[in-house]
Amino acid sequence: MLSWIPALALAADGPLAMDPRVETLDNGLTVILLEDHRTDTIALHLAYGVGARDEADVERGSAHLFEHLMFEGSANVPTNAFDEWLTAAGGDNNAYTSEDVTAYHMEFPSGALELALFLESDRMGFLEAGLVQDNLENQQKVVLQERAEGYAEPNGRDWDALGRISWPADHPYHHPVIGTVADIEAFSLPAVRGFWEAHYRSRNAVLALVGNFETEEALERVEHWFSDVPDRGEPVERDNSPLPGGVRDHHGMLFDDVEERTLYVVWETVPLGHADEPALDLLSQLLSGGRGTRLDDQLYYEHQRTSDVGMFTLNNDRAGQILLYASSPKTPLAKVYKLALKQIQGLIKDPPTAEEVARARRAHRGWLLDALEQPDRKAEILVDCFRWTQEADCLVPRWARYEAVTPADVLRVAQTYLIEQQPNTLSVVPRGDDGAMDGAQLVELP
Amino acid sequence: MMWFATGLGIVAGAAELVVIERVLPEYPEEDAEIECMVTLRVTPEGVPSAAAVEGCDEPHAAAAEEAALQWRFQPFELDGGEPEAVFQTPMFDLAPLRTVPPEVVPPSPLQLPEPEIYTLRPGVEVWHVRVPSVRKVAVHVVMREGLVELVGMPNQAARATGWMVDVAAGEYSAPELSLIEDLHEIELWSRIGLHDGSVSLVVPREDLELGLQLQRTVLREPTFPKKDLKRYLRDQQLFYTVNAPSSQARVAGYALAHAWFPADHPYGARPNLAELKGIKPRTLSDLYELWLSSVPLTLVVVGDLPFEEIRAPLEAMVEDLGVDRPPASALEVPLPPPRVLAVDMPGQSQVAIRLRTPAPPRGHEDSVAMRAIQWVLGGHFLSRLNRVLREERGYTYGSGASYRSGPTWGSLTFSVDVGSENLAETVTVIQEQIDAILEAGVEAEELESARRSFVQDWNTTRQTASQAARLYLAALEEGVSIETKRDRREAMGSLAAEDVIRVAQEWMGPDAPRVWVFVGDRAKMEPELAELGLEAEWIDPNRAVLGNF
Repeated sequence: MLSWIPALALAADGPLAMDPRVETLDNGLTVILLEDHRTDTIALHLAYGVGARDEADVERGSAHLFEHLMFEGSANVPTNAFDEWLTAAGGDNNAYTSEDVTAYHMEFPSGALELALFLESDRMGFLEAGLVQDNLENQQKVVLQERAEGYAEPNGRDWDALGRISWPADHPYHHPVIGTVADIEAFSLPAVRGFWEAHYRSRNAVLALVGNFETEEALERVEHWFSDVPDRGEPVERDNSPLPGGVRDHHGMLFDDVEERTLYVVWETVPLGHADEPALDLLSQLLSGGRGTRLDDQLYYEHQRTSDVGMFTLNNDRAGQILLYASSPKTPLAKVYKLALKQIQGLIKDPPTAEEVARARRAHRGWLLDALEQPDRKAEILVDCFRWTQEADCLVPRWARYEAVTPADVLRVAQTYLIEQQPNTLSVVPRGDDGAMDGAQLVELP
Repeated sequence: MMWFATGLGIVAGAAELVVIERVLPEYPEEDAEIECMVTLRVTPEGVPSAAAVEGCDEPHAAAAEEAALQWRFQPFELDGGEPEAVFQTPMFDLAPLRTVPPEVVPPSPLQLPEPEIYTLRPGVEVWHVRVPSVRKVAVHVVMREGLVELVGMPNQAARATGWMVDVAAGEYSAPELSLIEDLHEIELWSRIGLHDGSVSLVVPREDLELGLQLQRTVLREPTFPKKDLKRYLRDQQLFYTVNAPSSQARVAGYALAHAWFPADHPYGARPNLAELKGIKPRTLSDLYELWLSSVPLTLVVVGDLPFEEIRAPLEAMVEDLGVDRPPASALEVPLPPPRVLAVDMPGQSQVAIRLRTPAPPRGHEDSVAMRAIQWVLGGHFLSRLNRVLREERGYTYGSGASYRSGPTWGSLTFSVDVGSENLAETVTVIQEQIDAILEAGVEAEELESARRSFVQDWNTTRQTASQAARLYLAALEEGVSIETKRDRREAMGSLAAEDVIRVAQEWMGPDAPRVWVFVGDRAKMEPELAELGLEAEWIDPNRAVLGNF
């Protein structure tokens, strides 16, 4: 089959260069513009540098709460009008909150650009009008319900439990992004307003527009709408003090309304931008990137010891993880663990090949190129690039780092971060089942 | 003219001032470009005590002063020994624009081309669509008949056949095929539906030749390895007996589907676990040979390339295939009886609520109005249901409505998950919202909003080859032109409230059967259902998934 294998060096990086226009308004807002005239739509992505990691103990859940409150009206946009007006224009929007960032995104017909900028600038500059008790109380209910619906699904609590077992209590990633029931019920209007004032500042935001517009004209309209957003100064400095190390060799468990057992194995790795990030990404893809990769074949395709298996990296601003999961209705999770670890340790005897690395790399490149065909994903990439590197057009150098990874690099990171470290595990098993890892301790989720 | 933030904000007396109420001056509209700079003195209680205006003349200065004095700030602590804080702000050339939302230029649906249609030979057509600037090429070999034509009553063997074509083929074992696909970013997959199926390829333009070679092998020489069949069958067994019954959403979905289509109708065929045990690779290869040799084929090719570039490999791919006759027709489906199903999942705090009503078949003259009803009731964040259930009452994270249709049937399904204690009120809201449509239809603004949303959706179809291909595959399946599909989106704009009322009465009125499904803890649901006067048939999750009720 060797004749089918392509030369490993892929074509020049032309398709990954985006060449956007980047400007900073006087109020500190970073604006990134990139034309894409293939369709008559525009994607807007706006990220604030605030996530669950920025919350004080009494503010837990606040970053995510804003993902709701930002739609409840601002000085010139009545309650519910944000969605109503944007939808009436043919647009759509949503938001997400992570440990590190809160992002708001829209896609709309190009004839609605003015409206979109008006809505987004009004809530950036003048949200106080919507931060009222009625809106807060209603969104508290909605967030509690969001949490309850998520927890009611099979394996719906796993993610929060993983945070608790992986990071010590004083680590910024220990707490669930959505907050606990007590956190959510404790929100008060003064605290919520204080959180907005501290973090929702123009200097803490990056805005990208990608789509059917002329750059000069669009920039003028962005300035028009965002220039009266008050400059409330530099954002509150984020806590970048040394972190407590991650937990090691802890084995937790949950009983859940599930019929299958699921095992998670988590190793602490590196934060975003670390030199080893590309090799770790390729390692996870190489081990579990579908049929013909080591873990997937041994646990699922060839030997069917599990019903599901996967592995991925989670690189946050301040810390990272590599995470393996596998499910089985009958196999004890200690056995699943042993089988999975055997594949990882087997990398020493049977090191990654050039072909395996090429395969993993191609998957990563395909993912990037696919994303660049879609304005909404491209806008998100531009914003994330800027957040991480202060350069919106970061894919070419980023890809060069992936190109430079050798099989020896992949083996080295496997040894450093996986083989030589004791991972944590989470066993999730049906109620009353005895298939969890030996000695696993029940995880309490408040 | 544009305002920048320079000079805006605190001048003295406080570290920070937070505006909590901001009143804009009423300048004459033609003077929107006027700029006045206002300096406010603000007491620690957050109330302005005086305002000075510079940079503009009357009447604008007076208007700016009057507005500025109505501003309110969060109470604050003075610093620097000042008696009051001093705050400066422009007043405000943009103000007239912010008081009303900007005008929107309504979107128009893009003119997407009709496919160029080539007949390679009787029984084999190609739809070729050139989409500029897309990176990949999509090639779908569509079998114009599916499970129903193949076996009459869809069974597990026929389903497995359609889904396993892409696993291994010719000289390529499954791992080898997978490796080549991954190294060249080639996606190859197969599927089978009730009346059609496909072997599909999406490949970067530069690897098209290789992709087509693989697709040809997969289409013509699938090998159905024993080990993979065993895995597939085990996965099916596991899904129906373990994974699906543990999820409220999946249980609700299966219960609704099985209640809607009768068990003895091909569209309602139930999962047959006993049958899973006896399926051999030979069964699949025989079925596949029968399927491939007996159906008309249509190839749908979407990408940035001329047809001539792909004609020869396509001809080689389908050599000797394709039967020259029209595809079989869809089957009529009887309406189900009204039903209330409740599935007991002890210990659950939430209840999954689903309601299904009849709706027009695909392409029916009433389908445009039904699409509008779906949109207005449950198609977006501020749909009527979300407005009440989420925004007013906070009962749910989100509710929705979906309109599905085939050539002979259609259904409108409402979905919402709420805490069990809110079941009765939620059902009442759903009924009230349906009644409101039956009585008063929808507002003109809602229809225009729906039209624009569907146009926007249409206008994004050219972003990738895969997106564009989906549109053309839908047109092929439906047997309509692209122009017809485009016109339907526009037609929403010319509907009247009376049209909507008539269609709602026709399909969702008092005489139309309704199927309710509730999935949750029986002990918590029973009092709520009793309050509603609904008598439910109780079943367990496994029976719900398998349609054994």
